[in-house]
Amino acid sequence: MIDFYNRLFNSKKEELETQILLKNIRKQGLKDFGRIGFPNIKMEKWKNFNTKAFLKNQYEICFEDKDNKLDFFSKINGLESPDTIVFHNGHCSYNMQLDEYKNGVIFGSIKAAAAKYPELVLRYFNKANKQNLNGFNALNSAFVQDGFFLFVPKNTNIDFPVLVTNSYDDDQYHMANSRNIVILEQNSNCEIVQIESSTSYCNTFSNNITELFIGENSTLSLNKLQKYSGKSIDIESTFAIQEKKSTFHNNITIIGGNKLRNDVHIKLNGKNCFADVNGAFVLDDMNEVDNNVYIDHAKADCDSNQNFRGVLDDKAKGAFTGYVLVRQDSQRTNAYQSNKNIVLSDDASMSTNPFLEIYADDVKCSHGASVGNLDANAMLYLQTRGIQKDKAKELLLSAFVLEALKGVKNTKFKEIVSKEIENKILKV
Amino acid sequence: MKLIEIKNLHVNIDDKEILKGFDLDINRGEVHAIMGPNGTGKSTLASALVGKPDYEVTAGKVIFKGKDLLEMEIEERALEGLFLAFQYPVEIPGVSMINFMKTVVDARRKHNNEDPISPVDFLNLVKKSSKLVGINDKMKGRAVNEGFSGGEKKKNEIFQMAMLQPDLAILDELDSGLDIDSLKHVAEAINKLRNKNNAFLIITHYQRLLDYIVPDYVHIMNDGKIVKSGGKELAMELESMGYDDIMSKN
Repeated sequence: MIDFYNRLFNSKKEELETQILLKNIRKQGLKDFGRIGFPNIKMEKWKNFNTKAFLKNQYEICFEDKDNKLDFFSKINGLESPDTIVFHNGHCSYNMQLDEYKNGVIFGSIKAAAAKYPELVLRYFNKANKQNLNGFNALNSAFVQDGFFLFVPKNTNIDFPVLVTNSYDDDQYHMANSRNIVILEQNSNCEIVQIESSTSYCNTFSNNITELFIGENSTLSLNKLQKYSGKSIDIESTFAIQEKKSTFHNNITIIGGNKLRNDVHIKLNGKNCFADVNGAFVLDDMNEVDNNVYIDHAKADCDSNQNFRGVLDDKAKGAFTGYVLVRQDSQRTNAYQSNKNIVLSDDASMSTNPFLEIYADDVKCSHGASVGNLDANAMLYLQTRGIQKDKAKELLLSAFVLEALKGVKNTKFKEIVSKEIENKILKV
Repeated sequence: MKLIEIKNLHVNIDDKEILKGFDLDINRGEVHAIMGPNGTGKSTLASALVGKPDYEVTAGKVIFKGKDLLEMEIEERALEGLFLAFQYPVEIPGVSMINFMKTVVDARRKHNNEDPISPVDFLNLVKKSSKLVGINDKMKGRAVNEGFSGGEKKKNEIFQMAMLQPDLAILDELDSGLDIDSLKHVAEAINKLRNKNNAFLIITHYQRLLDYIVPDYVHIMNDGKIVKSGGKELAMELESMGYDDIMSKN
């Protein structure tokens, strides 16, 4: 398989290198990929996620979007933003390349940003994803095609959520390597809503990296809905570096997907940071989802929180791994982690794995995990009030999962993901 | 027609017989109290009547408003007008009180072939019922019973009862968790809800509650059935003599 992607790279070298600026990054990516290859289930961090079946496919790359259907994303009802960037099969829509605001905010396609502001983009590219941690990350570096770029200068608030949609409907075996970069300089605030979806006949393998640089005293919210079809393969790595007094809220809602993996790496690189990562997922059929959160308390006086809730039915398979690393000098750390799941069928399974690695002594860390059934007493209570059994089940499951998203401040987003969760729960 | 007729009811839990031939008839407009020592099957009776799973009825019948209650699903029994105020109301995080009540009220209306309640009517009903029971707005804004004190949970049960106006309300150990002032307040609310069309079955360990909600009939239960029935004076007698004496006298 390594050979295939090497040949692919060489055969498309000319097109890939139209972005001169990424030449070295691509080369390094290909080299790293050749060295480490794809991960496999023998590796500790990949033991819950078998990639073998889908990696048998030879994923080509595609340089143009033949059939850009802009209306595709509008199916997500009611979500609007004064600034939206639309990706279709990984390509940015032609009329939404780059928006530049008077206050210095830049938002748009990373390809367009790299052409216009090469120094700015290069200053951050692969600076949070430092080492191409795994073969997927390396492959992304080698083949990166586009993605979103957001630059928020210091002392700037974007007072509306910017919207990014990624939709996939390509029936060919193509890979889409997106690279997203977000930079918040100090004292800035912004919220990104990202909606990812795919059609039932889609054969795209999406392999994404998002690099987030959250400056001193800044707050970033990244609210994500992953609504993939039962055929889709999606692998995502998010790397966030937080400077002192910064806050990062990452809320992820997952509705389906054949194989879906999220790795969220957060480095708390200054004192008094807060990282908050929450996930809600409802899986049925053969859905497979593996969520991994790695929080590095590199400095003292930081708080982190992880809260993931899932419902699994049919033959769905889920995994959650929460790593917390508290370094020796990171005193007065507070790190909380919770993962609760309801498994509705004998054939569904959930694996939950907390890892706490603590070298400091003045630390408050807690973790809680459970895998269980619906609360029979709560069911009885609702039914004795006249609520039908199915409706009672639906109410309880929705409430259970949505508990993970209780901190989401964007009421519109919350309403939409709640609806998505309720609709999916109706099917389980 | 009697509101409910319970004839020779036998109930097992895990193959152990708890109710051993329980008989009771209740007419509309009546308040019945069931008293008895711990472990005699009082709460089992309440659970069996609402249809709690794992409570196996091995013999007997229960006719509620002329229909076979034991043939009905849990929710059907509720929709027909049976209500249980739980001894230990369960906390349901994430389900807001208001959404819950709206769902419940509309389920009832649908059962009666009525349209969903209008927002204005619903709010008026909530206002009226919460004023009657004395629950504050804060409680209504929270998730069902989540973080409620013992007393608040009990008040919430009666609030729901006021919203639903059942034909037969079973109050299981209503006084546990209530301080004396709350107890008086809740009892007052229940007295206001009493009318000639509904009935109450009060399950209690202590006579205290019956000072505030005066029953028409008192039944003493032991070992899975009623061993003695009488008027409200039986509760007073029980209070002065204790269970052992009353039952040996029997």
